[in-house]
Amino acid sequence: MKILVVEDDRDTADYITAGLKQQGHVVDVARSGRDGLFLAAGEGYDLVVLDRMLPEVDGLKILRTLRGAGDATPVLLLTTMGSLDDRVEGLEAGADDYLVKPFAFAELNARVNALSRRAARPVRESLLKVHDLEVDCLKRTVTRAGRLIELQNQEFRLLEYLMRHPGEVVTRTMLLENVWDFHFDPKTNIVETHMSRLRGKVDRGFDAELIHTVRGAGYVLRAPQ
Amino acid sequence: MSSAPRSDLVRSTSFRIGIAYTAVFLASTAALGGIVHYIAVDAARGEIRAFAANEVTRLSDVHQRFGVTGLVAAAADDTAAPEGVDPLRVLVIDRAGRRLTGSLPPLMRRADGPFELQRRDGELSILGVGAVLSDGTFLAAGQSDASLRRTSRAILNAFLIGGGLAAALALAGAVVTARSVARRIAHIDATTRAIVAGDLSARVPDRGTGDEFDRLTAGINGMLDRIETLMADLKRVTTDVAHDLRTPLARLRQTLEQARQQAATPEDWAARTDAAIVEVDRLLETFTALLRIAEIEARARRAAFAPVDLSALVADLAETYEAVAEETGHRLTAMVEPGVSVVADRALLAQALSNLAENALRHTPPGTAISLAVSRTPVGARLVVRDDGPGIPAAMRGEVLKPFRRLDRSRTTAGNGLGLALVKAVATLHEGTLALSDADPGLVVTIDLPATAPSAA
Repeated sequence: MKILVVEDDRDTADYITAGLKQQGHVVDVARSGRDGLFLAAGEGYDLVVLDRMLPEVDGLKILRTLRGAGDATPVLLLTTMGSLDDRVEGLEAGADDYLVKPFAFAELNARVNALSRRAARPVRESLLKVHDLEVDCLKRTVTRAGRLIELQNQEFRLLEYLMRHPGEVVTRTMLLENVWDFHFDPKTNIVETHMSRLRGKVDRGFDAELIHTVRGAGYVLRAPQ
Repeated sequence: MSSAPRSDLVRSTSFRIGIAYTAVFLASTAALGGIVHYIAVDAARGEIRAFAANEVTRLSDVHQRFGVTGLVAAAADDTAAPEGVDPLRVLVIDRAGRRLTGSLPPLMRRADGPFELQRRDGELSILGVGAVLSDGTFLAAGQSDASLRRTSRAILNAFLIGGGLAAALALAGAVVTARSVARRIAHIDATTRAIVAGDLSARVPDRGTGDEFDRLTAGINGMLDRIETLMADLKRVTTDVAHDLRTPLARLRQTLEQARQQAATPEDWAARTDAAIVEVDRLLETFTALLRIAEIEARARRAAFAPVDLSALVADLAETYEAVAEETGHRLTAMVEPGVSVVADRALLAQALSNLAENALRHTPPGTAISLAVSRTPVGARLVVRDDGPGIPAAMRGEVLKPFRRLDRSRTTAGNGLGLALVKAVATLHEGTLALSDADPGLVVTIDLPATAPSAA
């Protein structure tokens, strides 16, 4: 993927760039808002990682300018402010996702991948299938190898989210935000507990495991090779 | 502080108001005096003329009946008058212009109607009425206006003395008022200066008269109490933050130092680095929690207020934590009255309830029963988180709501001591109340929320 990183802090920019390059992406860096806007508008990137606080032209302004010009490139907004208002403001300005500094690179990477796949898969399907696991989001039924699996509400939402991101690493924070609508860090193992229950119902007793733990990053649901 | 110097007095607002008021009073007194004087003098003139006209009519009658001789006899009588009273004087002149009788100076036009004679020095004049009789005799009666002038002088004197006295009193009043106001202002001024200089305990003395100054004083003192509390809180939180962050920072330093000196293998080094990252994350968590509380307390989040289905929220959280409770060996149940809804910030209520549920899960031993409940109240909704664990001693219930305050037995469990402070901030933002009480055994946390926070709209 061709990714533009707009970040004025040299250390952070290097950290992000090095990580993304290691993942095989082509990365350009802009160190000011003006350069960022210039590059983002002209170069045709697959994704933009945009810092909110920038010299000259600030991140939200760049975002609004891009969206105003009809540019739908996925944008991941970075910020040092973690307040709820800032998150809402960023999403309203047209950001596709939002990440609070400081963050682990695994978190950024997972979100970058999720955003790029989402861009490639614009239709929201109601029938999801990975290997022999099927989820019908309209009827809210889950079957695996033809067997009906009873899930609780939150287990269903968790599975649906995983099924919508097959083969992608999803982080604990992404799950908290998208499944539980928690925009804070709970002090108990909510994700781990529910994930283990879900695995008990979806994976236990079947020939192959579909949900895997990715150490230090999160979880992935994928068909066995 | 006690009495203001003269120049300050003259410059003071209340003194200026007093002067302006005195000026307005004097102007209105002068206007009133003028009007009274005019009306009184006019009435007195009218009276003199009427008196004179009366005499002329009477003498005309005499003339008609008894002729000139009778007239002269009758007119002469009238020249005598009691002492102290200006006499009504007459004048009778025959056709040829000779004075027949009377003491009026023959200066007037010999015609019918009123006349006025002015003495040369202007001091005195005579007001009168003249008549030309049938045989050409001219008859006139008149009276000096001395009484009129006395009346006029008396009125002017009365107004001058009265006005002067009133002005003097008003001026004295202005000085006294200005002094008194200045003195009370000086108290307030001295207090605020003391506060600025750093003495936060200074207060404006209250005279207890309940006047507007006392109300102002009460307001200022209330504000100062609040400032003092805030400053004390700020000082304590600053100290607490420093204390609470020193320990993990010291641990972090240790971990890093050991990693550098002792890590023998790449795996060992990675493990120690991971431990350091965990420490840093914990520190960051504390900062995030502090910032979140500050944000809530700054009331910047009213924008996110919307109707929230509390029943659904509590049911959802119960489902979330029921699974966690099962893992930690607790029993978590929910008592949800259906259809309870308030205007609130959903995300913050979710975080507050999560904090309470997690507190119950983390600070009670396995086997403890925990319940989440939501019910409707006459004014809004009540959220209750109850456990039958060890509870919190009554003396500590107020303390644990403050940032970084933890029970001694919780010091070893993970957590930053900010959870309840956040719950308290959320309750306050919603203009609700937070109460900790004894579940005997255990702890009950009750949040009462109004259906609509009044100032949220």
